[in-house]
Order: sequence, then C-alpha cells, then structure tokens
Amino acid sequence: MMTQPNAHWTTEDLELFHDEQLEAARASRLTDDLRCDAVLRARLAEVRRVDDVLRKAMLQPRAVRSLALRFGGALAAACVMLLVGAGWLVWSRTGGTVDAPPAMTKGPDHSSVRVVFSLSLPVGWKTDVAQRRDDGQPSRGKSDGDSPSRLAEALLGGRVEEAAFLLATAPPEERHAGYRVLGEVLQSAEAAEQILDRLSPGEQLAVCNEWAAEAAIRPTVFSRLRRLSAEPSLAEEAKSVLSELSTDPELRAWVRGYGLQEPG
Amino acid sequence: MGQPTPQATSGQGQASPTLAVLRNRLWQAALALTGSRDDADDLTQQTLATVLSRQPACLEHVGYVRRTMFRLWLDEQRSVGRRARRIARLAAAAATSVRLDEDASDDDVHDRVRWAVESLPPQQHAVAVLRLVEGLGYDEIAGVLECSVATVRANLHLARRGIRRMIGKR
Repeated sequence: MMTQPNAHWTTEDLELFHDEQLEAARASRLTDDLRCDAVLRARLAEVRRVDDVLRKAMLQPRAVRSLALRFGGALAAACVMLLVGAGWLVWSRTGGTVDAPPAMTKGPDHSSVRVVFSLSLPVGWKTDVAQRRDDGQPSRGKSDGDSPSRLAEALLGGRVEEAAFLLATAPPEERHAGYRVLGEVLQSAEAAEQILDRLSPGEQLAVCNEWAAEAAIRPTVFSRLRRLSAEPSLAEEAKSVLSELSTDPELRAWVRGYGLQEPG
Repeated sequence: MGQPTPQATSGQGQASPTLAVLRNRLWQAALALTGSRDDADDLTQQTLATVLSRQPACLEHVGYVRRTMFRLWLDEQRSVGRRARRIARLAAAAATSVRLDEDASDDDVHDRVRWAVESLPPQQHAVAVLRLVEGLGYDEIAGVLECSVATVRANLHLARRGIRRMIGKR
C-alpha cells in the first residue's frame, strides 16, 4: 500500500520550505508532493496563515487589555482610597460607634481604625478535586466558566495545589502561560516533582524549559531534563530545549553540570 | 500616529534623513518586541543612545544597531522587575482570556495572539520578530542573536508551535 506524501513531511519541514531554508533536493521533492496532495497543501497554507496572523499581531500595539492592565493597578488603588475615605467619613459622622475594643473607644484618636477587606475565595475546588479523584476522570463541568479567574487567583495567591489542579483541566492555550507563572511561585522541589509526574513526557519537557529559570526548583528541573533527554522519542525536542537553555550563561553551567550534552 | 516623531525620539529637533530612516525601521521591530508604542519609543531611543555613546561610527551599520537593540531587550527581559511585571500580566491575562471560537472578533484574535506572543520565552519571541517582521534569513538571525543556525531553527519552530497551541484553531 502506498503512503500519502503528506505523512512524510513534518510541520517543521513545511516551515523550512516556507522560509526557503529547506535543502534544494528536499524542497524539490516537497514541491512535487504538493502538486498531488491536497492535505499537504492545506498544511502549508496553515503554516502561512499562522505566520500572517503572527506578523499582523506583532505589528500592532496591545489594545484594550493593555490599557486595562496599565491602569488597572492605579484604578484599584484609587478605589481602595475612596473606600477608605468613605469608611472614615461614615465612621467619624456616626461617632465611631462600631464594635471595637474598649481601648479604642475611649479617646477621639482615630489612628487605629482597621479596614478589613473580604476577598471571595474560590469555592468548590476541593469538591471538584475529590469528585475527580472518585471518578478517575477530569471533570470540566460546572467549574469551566470561572476557571481562568480562579487560576489567576490561585497563582497570585501562591496556592500551588489548586493552581496545578486547574491547569490540568485548563484548555491548552491557557496551560502554557499558566505553567510558567506556576513555576515562578513554586518553592518546593517535591511539589514540582509531583506536578511534572502528572504530565506527558512532551509537556514535561516544555514545562522544564519554562521552569529552568527558577532557582528554587532548578535541581528538580535539570534532573528531569536528564531523564527526558535519555528517551529516544524526545531526543530532538530535548536537544532544542537544551540548545535554548544554553544561550543563557547561567543555565549553560547547569546544562554542563548535569552532564547534558550541549548542542554545538 | 503609529510612527514616532523625530522630536519625540531624537530629543534634538532635527535628525539626519539616515537616522530618521534607521529609527523608523528600528521602531517597527521594537513595537513587535514590546507590544506598546511608548515602550517601542523607549527601546529605540535607548538603542540609539547606546550606539552613539559606544560606537558612533557604527550608527550606519544597520546590523550592529539591530543587534544592540535585541541584546538590550533580551537583557531587560531577564531583570527581576520585568519578570514580576510579566507574572502580573500573565495572571491578569489568564483571568480575562478569550477563547478563539468561530465567532471570535478580530479584536479578540489580535488580543489573544498578542498575548500569546508576549508569553513566549524571550529568545523565541526575538527569533520570531527577526524572521517575520524584519524578514531576515536564518544565518542573519544567528548573527544578530549570536547563536547557531540550528538554535535559530529550533527556536523558530518552538515559537510557531507555541503560538499554534496557544491560539488554537479558529
């Protein structure tokens, strides 16, 4: 049975062809295959489409979200100030008749006013975890709608276990950035090991690439990289990751220290 | 409004035509790296100032100036403050992220791709800009980033794959 030409060519080959960097002989073969294989043509068109989308996005500045992010902090600070001011005004007009320790109600000194903010913590994630463990299946039902905000909340709050759980069930496009942020809040080598154990070897490699910059978990990351690079199926990908890490002088020393072959 | 004015970036009122052309060219790459007009202005200005203070004669050598700009940007990406800002940005973006459905608007797509680009490791981001915005060949990119062609090839592939994964199918 004859195999389709489509199967012979990897996406990287198509990208090299698109960049005119594929060796002449292979480029000629690929040109022939493209003439007779519609699937291959569609794959090449997808490579071009991604490049076009990327180029367009890179040549335009960030839009609404960047404004929100830039002024978000200032806006939040202004709201806090406003709340504090309003609270103080109300408190002073009502004669300070709040439930307070006796020492505070004696004099007119208002210097020890306490402002307490209540943050709504995500509810139900522990139940989700338990349910998921019982079922042995990922449950993406009711928690889907608010998982990105819960993820951000968990990451910013340093709640590693919750963040790891949310990331495991997050869509791929959120997972990549999420793991990177998780690496920046992780302080425990054991936790890092546990999180890596839950991932596929390919994902482990990608996450190790993200986490190598984090000093606290670097030994774990490089031990894992050594293990992964010994697997023949991951050799090429591991080589790319090591090559990237070696561009950083600090990490190059680690690559050498762990006996990982530094690509020429 | 997209391009910086000579006054805004040179600080000397008038600039030579060569410098103006060079600045506009740098500014476009700086925008692709930083994602904001203000930051692109700063990076362009910092690059020209650095070259002028170190090697004024190299100002007409586009390759040298470009390499200086990318080195400055990559160095900045490694700073602690920058990393802290990146954490905040990624977390906030995760909180408001948009999935690219069939009916996603152009703004959503642009926003999502821009976020995905900024989430790439700096080295991959730089390679993508040099290839897709500056249109350089792999060997030229290797020269700018002072690495091997194999590293460029690997980084570009990883960048494209990362973007494909992050933006998903539309």
